[in-house]
Amino acid sequence: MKSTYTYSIYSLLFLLGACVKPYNPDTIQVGPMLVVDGIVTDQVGQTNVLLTQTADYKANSVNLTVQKATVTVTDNTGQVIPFKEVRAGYYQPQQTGWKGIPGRTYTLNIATAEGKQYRSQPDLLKPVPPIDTVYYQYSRSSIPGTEAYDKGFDVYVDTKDADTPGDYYRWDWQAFEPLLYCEIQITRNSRTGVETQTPLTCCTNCWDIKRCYACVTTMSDKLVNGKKISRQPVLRAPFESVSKYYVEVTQYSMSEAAYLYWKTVRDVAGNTGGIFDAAPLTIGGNVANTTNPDERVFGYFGASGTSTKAIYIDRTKTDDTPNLLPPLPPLPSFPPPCRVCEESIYRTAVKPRWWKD
Amino acid sequence: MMFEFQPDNRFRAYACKAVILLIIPLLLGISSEVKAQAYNIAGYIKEAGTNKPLSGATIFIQETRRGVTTDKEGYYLLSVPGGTYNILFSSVGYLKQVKKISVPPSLFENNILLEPDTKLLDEVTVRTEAVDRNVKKIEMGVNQLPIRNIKRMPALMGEVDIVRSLLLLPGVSTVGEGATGINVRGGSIDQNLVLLDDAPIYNSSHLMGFFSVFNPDAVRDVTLQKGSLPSRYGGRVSSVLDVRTKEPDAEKLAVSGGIGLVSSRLGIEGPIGSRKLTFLADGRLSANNFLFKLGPPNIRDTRARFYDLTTKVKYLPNEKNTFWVSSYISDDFMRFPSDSLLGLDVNASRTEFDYQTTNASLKWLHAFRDNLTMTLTGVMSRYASALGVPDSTNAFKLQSQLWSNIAKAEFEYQTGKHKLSFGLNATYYRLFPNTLKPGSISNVQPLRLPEEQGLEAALFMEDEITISPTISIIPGLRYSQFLNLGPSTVLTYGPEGPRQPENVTGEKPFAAGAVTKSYGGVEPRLAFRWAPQADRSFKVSYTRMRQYLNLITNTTAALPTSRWKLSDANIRPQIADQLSAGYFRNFDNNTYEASAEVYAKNIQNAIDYRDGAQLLLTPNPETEILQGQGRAYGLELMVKKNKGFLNGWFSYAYSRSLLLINGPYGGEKINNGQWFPANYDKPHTVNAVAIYRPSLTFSASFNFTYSTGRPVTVPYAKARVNGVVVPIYLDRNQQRIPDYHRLDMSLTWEKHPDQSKRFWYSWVFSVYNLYGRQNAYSVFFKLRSNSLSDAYKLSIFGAPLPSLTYNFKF
Repeated sequence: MKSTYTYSIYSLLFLLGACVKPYNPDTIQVGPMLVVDGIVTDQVGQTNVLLTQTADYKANSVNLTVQKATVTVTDNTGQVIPFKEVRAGYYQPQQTGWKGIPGRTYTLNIATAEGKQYRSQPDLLKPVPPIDTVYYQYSRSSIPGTEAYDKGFDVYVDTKDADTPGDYYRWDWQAFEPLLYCEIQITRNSRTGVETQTPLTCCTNCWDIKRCYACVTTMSDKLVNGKKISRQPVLRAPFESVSKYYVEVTQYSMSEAAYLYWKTVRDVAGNTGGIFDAAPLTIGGNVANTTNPDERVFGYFGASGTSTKAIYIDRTKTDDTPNLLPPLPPLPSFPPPCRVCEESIYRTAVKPRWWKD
Repeated sequence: MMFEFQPDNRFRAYACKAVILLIIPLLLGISSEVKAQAYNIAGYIKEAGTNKPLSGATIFIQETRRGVTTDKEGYYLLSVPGGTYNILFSSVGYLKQVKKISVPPSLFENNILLEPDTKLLDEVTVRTEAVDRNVKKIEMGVNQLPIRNIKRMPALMGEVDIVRSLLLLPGVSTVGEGATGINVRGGSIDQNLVLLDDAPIYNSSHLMGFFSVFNPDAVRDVTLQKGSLPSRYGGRVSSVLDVRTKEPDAEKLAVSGGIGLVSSRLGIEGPIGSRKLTFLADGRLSANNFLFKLGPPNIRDTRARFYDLTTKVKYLPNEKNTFWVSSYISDDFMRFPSDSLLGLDVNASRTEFDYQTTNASLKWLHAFRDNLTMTLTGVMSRYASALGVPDSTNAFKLQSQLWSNIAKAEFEYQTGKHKLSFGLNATYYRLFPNTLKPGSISNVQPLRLPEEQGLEAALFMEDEITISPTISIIPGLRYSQFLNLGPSTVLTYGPEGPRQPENVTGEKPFAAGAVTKSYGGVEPRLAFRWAPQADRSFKVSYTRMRQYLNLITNTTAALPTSRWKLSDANIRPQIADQLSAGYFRNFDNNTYEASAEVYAKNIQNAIDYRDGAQLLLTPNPETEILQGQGRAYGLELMVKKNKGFLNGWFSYAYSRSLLLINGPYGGEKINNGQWFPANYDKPHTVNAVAIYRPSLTFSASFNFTYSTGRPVTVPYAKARVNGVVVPIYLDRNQQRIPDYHRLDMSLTWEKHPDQSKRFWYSWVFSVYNLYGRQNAYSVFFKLRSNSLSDAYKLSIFGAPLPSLTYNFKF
């Protein structure tokens, strides 16, 4: 049924000589299809739309962006919010301080450079209750088949569900790790084959942004309506240093349709095809071609209220020792020129909101 | 109760009609107006040593040239005028006995023990059925496996498994080695009616799906009817698997048992006080938690245990009445370490499965006259399953129960060329779908799905008519009616849109006992046989069946906690029509039998599910279920050798099973409304079974099986969504997992039967998957950035799996 049972049932089977081996099925080739990934929130700077295309299943990369499209969002009062392409395939409102208003519904319109028109279903922006507490707990477990241990801090969220039924939540997180070096140059001596690492410091303060792309954490209040949502796990912070770990956890409200979509994404990404798994499903979404409804379009455009809370994880307060990463090379006595901290989804020079120096 | 002719007799030169008159089952009692001066000779015929009743054994009066055969319990009754007779008792594979008997007085306990024919040739004969049953029976698509043969076949981990051995028959398959249930002629697992002594078994597997729930020590024989169904069976659209427990030993108290890797068995049987009251109790226990504790750390927390107990009490107060009280209890518990229960949106560190079957039945067989018998049966059956999470703040238990109470009356009447049976059958269902119970300090909210009630009633009759020695026919008719009963609330959906919550147009409450929806209709049955010669026959049959109770699950293999659902106002019953035809031929004095059968089946209202259906907790499963059309067709060929040192069979089956789900709205079509293969569609299957028995103390057996891989859905493309790379699936079941093949071996040493009689033992050494083929149990897809391949094949028995079992009896 679900992949976690599946895993457990399989682990039982491994006693019996079970084994997993890579396997090469025949693949089927289909043309690229549009994938929409968009969100409007009630906080500044979070609204964005990413347009990509599907890749062949065996292709190595999945980075086919849809560029030079005309993207707008309309709300139920008739307001039109034009978007601009800030990176390849990544669109944001032209007006930088723009944010969504709770209670309004938002619809996405796309016109591609080839002239195809797409429109999403309208999605209601519901306010979200604030996160009550974010807390963590250390745990370790042995990694099967090795002497090593999986060590980490499980981070949980408690929140109070609204009294009305039909509330849906999603969580994600971003951890910021301050960088000492913005780049480590590796030079290889062609004669001896010896590699030398030359670290390049950052010119400004710089943080690496860590997040889990494969994790989709969602919840419906169906089983807990009006009560506290307790011990909702959001992430597991690694224990590979004793320095403080800064992480921001964001809680999203969403509509039932969005919840079902994210659940599907999670089920599909989780693993599928196993014997106790449900029949694999298509992720679907809420965007369609306005002239050809049979065209397969994937992805969801949704509206969410968000609440973000940050936590510092004190990684010194365990009796355990961290799984240390390999040490960084020492700074040479004549430091080479510094590197600019380049803004991307992986790195930022902007100090995180609750960062304490 | 079923009776068997010794059909050979009908073709002998003498008094055919008189023989038929006397081949009357259970000639219990005699009506005085017919034979005022008649006396009775009655008793059981059993195998010496094991006391196994011999059905179909012949009792022949040499003076009058008349005879009868024993019934399924090995019982016979003759009525003769006063005098002295030489009576011949015989059964295929046993030494004949002639006994001189004088009446009066009537003899009611003239029990005969027949010694097995120690000539090796006959020792290995398939015995519980007449050797030429294949050709002579009117029905087809019937496979009967005597437990004796099942015990000789190689067993997985030494566990003799009735359901697993059925997989070696043509037309029977499974979706995977650990999957629960069987798929018969392209049907889903819930389309089989599984009966253990008349009581339904809703989950035939222990430990998820590895072993079957039937204790081999308690079972006498297993009959799988996949073609023409007698009219007394109904309620499922694929097949009937009828498992009968053995009759208790009336001679002495006997203890038997065995010790195996997975489970150990202990059984006791014998008379209580007098021979009129006998009992048996067979138990099986598996407690292997210590095995998991030896395993790697991630499975040390795993637990798996089960037990089952089969009991039967038989009371025979006089020759006209027999009573049986049977019960069956089975219990399974499993605990898996697990991170979360994704399907329920609750966080958990461990998952527990827990399920039980509790059945009890009472049966009364009464003979009014020598040609009219009545069987009354009452059954109570309960299947309960639970899935639990023990964590404190998120602790909960998800429980469901299915109760069925069955009352059945069946009459059999024989006269001339007719063998008439008729009766009625009523089943009352109470279904408690999932109830979510939070733990004491848990934040999980309780949830209770509405209870379901239903009544399924059927009237049935059929007549087996012997038109001539070469032509016989069984016309049958069953009328079944199903009432879905309140209290419940029935939703109506607008015809303008898909059956989804937003299209609900009305809500109608029904009071307790009110009929919320009724379905029903006639189910004609017909079987025809033409035997131009004694060693060959052509058969044709047609069967219609209706199914009102379904297991709804959209996983390839069902879980013990999968949900049962009665038909209701929004979910229509499945209706199947099956037409089959076959040619049966025996060679070389019934040493070899060959058969070829073809069948075609059409199912109305076949069930499938919407993409991503969530079935466990929805109060309205009709919003997740799609109904369409199913069809299955195939060819089954089989050659069987019944006699000699070496016997066994070879079979080939071609079978297809397809579904068409083509609703009017987008989400109600699967694969764009085109026919697509069902999860269990496995076109080609080859099975070979060989049992070699060169001496009385040793036997070796091998079986080989090959089948096409089952269908699987593979991704067509991939996309990145919110940074997550996900596979894109478009159409279901368009690819197949690799073909499956496997060879097993089993060696049995047993004590020589001639040595001191009391204590018997045997050692069984078996190897499952002898050449270690890594068969695909499943193929799954996991996108990983750091790995080149992202399709994986899981093999669960990827290496030869040996086992040793010790059995005893005293």
